Amino acid sequence: MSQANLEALVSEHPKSKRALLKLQSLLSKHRPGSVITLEELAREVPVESRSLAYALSLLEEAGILRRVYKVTTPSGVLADAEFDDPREIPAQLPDVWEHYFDTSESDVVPVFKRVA
Amino acid sequence: MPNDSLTARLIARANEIHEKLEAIPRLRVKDVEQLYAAQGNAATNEILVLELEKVRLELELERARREIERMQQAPKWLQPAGLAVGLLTLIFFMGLVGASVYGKVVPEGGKFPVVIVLALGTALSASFLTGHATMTGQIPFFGDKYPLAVSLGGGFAILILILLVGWKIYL
Repeated sequence: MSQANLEALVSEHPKSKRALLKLQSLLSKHRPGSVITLEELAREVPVESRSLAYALSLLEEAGILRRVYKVTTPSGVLADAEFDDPREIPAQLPDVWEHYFDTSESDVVPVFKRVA
Repeated sequence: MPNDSLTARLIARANEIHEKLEAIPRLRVKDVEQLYAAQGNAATNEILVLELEKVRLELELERARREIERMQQAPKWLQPAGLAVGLLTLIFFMGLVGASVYGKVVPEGGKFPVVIVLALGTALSASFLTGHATMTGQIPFFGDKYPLAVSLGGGFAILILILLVGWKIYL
């Protein structure tokens, strides 16, 4: 995230300044295309969940982050497949061993990817 | 006892976090359509807030559990210290016995300090070893609830007992 982008966002949304600055520091550790999990976000950005969600949506709108959805396999790990909309998740997906499992009972997990 | 109340507070906090975590609804693939039907596009934000809150509570619970584990662990020096004090006391008395074999007995005026050394050495050793045993759960009943009280109480009882016995039979 460039300094100019951030400053523009902070001046437009001063209430989200703290979350945005923390996110900038987190993003500096990630290369474009890398995945940022919710665990990492919760650990590195100690602000209230709703404020963090708002700051993340600002970064999405600015084209800095992209939100995708993943599902948990029956063994509890995340399947490789990712979707832009959780409603697009098919009824069956392959797990890491390429065995197909029924997704209806699987948890939906949003993750973020750094775009720029 | 400050440690006990702190542990109790931490356990209560961990239970509270666990309850909050249980109260957060699971978002399964089969619930997604229903959520979007009820909330429209706001569901996108709701899913994120819900999942962030869940992850945050899980991290908090993990931290609380680690802290409780740390609090319930006995200090590492307790058992070696108990053994060392016991060994030193034993060596001291073996030295006295050795000296008496060669005709060097403890004078009348030195008997009281000898009893004091015996009482303190035994009491400290017993206190450290009892403390380690209670904190590692080897003494149930009172031990798991009041480890420091059991450790100090045991040590003090032995101190008094040895002083009385020493005074009665040696002085």
